[in-house]
Amino acid sequence: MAHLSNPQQWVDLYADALYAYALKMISHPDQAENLIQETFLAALKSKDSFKGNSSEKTWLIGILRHKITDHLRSKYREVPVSSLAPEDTNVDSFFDQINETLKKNPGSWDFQPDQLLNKEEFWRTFEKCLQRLPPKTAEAFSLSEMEQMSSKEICKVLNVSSTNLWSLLHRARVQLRQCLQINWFEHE
Amino acid sequence: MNSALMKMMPMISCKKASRLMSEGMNRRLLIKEVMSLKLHLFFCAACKQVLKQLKGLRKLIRTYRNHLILESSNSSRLSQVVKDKIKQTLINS
Repeated sequence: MAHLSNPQQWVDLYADALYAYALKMISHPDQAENLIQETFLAALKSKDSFKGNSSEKTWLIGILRHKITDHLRSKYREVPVSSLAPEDTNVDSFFDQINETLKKNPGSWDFQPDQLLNKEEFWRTFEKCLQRLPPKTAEAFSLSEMEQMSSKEICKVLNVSSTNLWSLLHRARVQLRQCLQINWFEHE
Repeated sequence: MNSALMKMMPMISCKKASRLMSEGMNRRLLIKEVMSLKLHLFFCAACKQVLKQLKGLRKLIRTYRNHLILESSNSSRLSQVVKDKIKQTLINS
């Protein structure tokens, strides 16, 4: 059974991993840092409830994941939907106007997942590409791919209809794929 | 292709196919949608490639996520200044 280490050591041991996780979910580094601080504070408060069924790190990332979802939920609950400018989910700029084929050949991505897992540069490029997406578009993608949340849940968190969600995810995938192709795979 | 079949199942564009590919990653497509996407992919090498890349990216992100949670070593990302600030907050709380 796992035991908790001294909370003073948590920051040195886990802050980098939490930050790496948060940056895949939240585009603003400042907000990501705040959420990490909140995670440690919440962990400190609830350290007596740590059962030791998972590792300390898994436990902390679990708290962070809740913090991120709560942050997104309140972000979109507090602002009336009508007052938000709808995000541009149009994908027209990626396709030929007349025959609707991709403007840029997709190219080939030859990669082994194992090789990219520890390539820090790749994940920084990935984060930059995510940051170039409109916020809600990026968040919809991260909730779907990183959190593996169901569409129903994502709609609730982001306060959107399912048709709106399909548009957000489509735009995210089209743009992210092209961004990774241009900024990573074409140079590999 | 048989013209009667073409009438029943008109060829969709790459833009429409990419929308269906994306939606298919989050919901179960209708049979009609599956058929028109499959037909498109049969003729379009570029879209077939895109679908392969999207599926590869999904797998990569999910593996990375588990790796981040389970592996012990992570490269340093957060600045020491921020780490010190958080430590101080923890001590004061």
